Amino acid sequence: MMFSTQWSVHEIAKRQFLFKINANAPIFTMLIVLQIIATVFMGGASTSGYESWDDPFSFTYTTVSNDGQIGLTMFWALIVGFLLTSAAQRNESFAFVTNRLTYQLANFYFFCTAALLGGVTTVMLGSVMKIITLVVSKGVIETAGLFSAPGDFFAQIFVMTAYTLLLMLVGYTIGIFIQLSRLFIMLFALIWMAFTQFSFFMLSADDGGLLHFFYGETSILLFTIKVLVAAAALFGISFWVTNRLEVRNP
Amino acid sequence: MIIFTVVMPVLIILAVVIIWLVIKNMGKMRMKKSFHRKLIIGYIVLLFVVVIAAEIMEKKYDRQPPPKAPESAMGFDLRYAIEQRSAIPERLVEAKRTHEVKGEFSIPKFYEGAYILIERTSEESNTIEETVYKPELFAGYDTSYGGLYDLSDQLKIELPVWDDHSMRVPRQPQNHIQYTVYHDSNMLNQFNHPHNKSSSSSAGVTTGMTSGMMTIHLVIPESIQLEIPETGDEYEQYIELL
Amino acid sequence: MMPAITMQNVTKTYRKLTILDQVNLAIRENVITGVVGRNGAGKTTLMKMISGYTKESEGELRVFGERPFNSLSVSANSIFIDDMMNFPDALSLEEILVECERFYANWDGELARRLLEYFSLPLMLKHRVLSKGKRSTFYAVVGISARCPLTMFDEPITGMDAAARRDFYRALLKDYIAHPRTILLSSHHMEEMEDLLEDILLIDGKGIGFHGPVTELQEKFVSLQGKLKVLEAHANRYAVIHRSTTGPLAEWIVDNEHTAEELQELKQAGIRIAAVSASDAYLAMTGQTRGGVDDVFDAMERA
Repeated sequence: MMFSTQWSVHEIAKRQFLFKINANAPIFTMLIVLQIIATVFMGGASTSGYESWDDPFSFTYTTVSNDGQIGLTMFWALIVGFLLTSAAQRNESFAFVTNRLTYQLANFYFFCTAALLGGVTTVMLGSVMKIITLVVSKGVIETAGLFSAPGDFFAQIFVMTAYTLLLMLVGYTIGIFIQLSRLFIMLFALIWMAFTQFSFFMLSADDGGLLHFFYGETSILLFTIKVLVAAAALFGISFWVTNRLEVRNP
Repeated sequence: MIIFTVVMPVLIILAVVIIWLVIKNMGKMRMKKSFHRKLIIGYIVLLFVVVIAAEIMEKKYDRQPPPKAPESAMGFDLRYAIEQRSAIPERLVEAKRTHEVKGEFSIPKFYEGAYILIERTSEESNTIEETVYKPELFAGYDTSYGGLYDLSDQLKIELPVWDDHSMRVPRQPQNHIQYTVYHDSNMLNQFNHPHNKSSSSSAGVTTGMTSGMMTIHLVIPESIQLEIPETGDEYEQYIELL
Repeated sequence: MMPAITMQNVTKTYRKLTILDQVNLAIRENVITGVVGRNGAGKTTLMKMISGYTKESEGELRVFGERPFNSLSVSANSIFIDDMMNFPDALSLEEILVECERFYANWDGELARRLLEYFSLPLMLKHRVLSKGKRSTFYAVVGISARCPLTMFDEPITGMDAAARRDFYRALLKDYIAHPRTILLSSHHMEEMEDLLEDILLIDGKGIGFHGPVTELQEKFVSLQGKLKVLEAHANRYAVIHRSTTGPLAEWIVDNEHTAEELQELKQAGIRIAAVSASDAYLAMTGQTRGGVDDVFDAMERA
């Protein structure tokens, strides 16, 4: 062997991942900013009720939830996935030691970390809403907390992390294709149109539907398998594309 | 639907651009790497404290949610039940009274707040039977797993005032009911509740109200002459002769 | 000894445009090779291919015996420095040095810090805010301190002032002597790096114009100096590559193909025969001296 330095794929992927965490620290700060925005401005409350100015009877029913934080965190996830496909990101990684496999693995580790952070913080943010409900609105907490039902609490973190990871990988895969050719923008626009036109009611559909495939799953084991398979598929597709991509190509 | 097809992608792209720029500029700013690290760690620690605090406060306040609405209350139609003389749950009865009336009986114009059902009997008597039924209020997050709360107890009513030849409905007390509940997002609870598939995805708030005001059922014998002012058009809606 | 880099019939095309055509090459290990050639000749393309950034379109390329595209070993043992290094915006110079240490086994952080201090580059700055010359200096410092068995500099001196350029070449040479490695160095300023180089790789016309020791390149040409009339009388049988006149004397650079008798004859006619510098030889090789851009304007006047 003529090489003076030999690294294993695992070792370089790990180092690339640590490098990525350092280089992309603003991404995490962005998450915190978005979550604060969600908490302050969106409040996560939905109000319904009946009110009339001359009626002695009025009724306001307010449900507070962490929907707003969840929404923005998922949005952040999609964007993070997309951001990591930029040419700048690729060039940054290739300025150091890497090949396309370790680069992909490092991105994947990064997504896992970011998803876990997103999942944990979002579920914990629910407690901020709980305190607001208790103190400001004199309301009632309906769902069980960490102490009364730790299982539920961790199940929530798991679900949130899984969805965040999936969205990151979706954003990443879309971004990879767009990096390959700008023509894919057209394709994705068409897919989006078809998606919204034909199966808009997917959200409430009982049978079938891509979203229902995950959301409708009540078995934690099956859900985990579905998520793993989907993540592996997305990772595989993006790896297949990246493996032929040239770096710093004029 | 056009909103989802066109407006949403535009908004998403705008947001992507904004967030992209913010992240880029954050990088250019004189922020050290350690700043971000400290911020993230601080944030998680803060959230952890908040979680514990919320747990403790929940215990301290110990606000019990109101009782659940009985299954039978759902879809129960009081007016129909009275008309059909079918069984009416006891909990709905606020008062059962009889009143002696001399000659003519009248109901003066009243401010809304009661719904009066008048039933005539062929008896010769000067006694009116009055049954006052409570208004009911149910509210909840999701009907599918019996999540409706019974808030009827919080509704205050004032019973009608009787004299020898009339029944007066007093102005009803103000009922401003505010009910706030915290509920973890449905999205995260897909394993935590054995929820019904058919409505699992609709995360809206449901409120149910069988009746927002008290119902007064009067049984008046034929021998009592009834005088109901039929002037106001609004007024009429609240009195019905069976 | 096995060469560090070998190429056999390597071709590189970008969308039907051929940049390098059927290149055969063997670069010796632990030698400083200057990669020279005119703009767009394919110097950068060659180096990017060697570093594994881009894939060769045809042929066989081996770096330390392995194909560089997607090779982790080649990546770990080589570094490619150019003026678009793309270090992350979020990191300061100091933090970038820490990352370098993470990836390069032979990294000398002490040397890097001392050099940056010498070049007065503050460690807490972000690399994006540096001036062009300072940024190039920083990248060059990274390239030297990484001590990779294969170190490639593509136009490393862009924007540097004369003192910084001199210091860079000096630092590179000193560190090379202490820690020998294979270095590829490309620049337009041949005269400045001439003293540093052992080998010259001249890329010309999509292929290799010349590859060999610097002295060999110099020996290909000879400079004849004398009165113009004398030169015209005695030296007209040579292919003149470059003519210039300074005062009463004219200088012709011609191919170094004469017999001893011919040389004797030229000397007797009063013509001074001198060796050419490597940069003159390079200019002669690439035809950058043949009339030059003046010809274009002369031709237009005649028309």
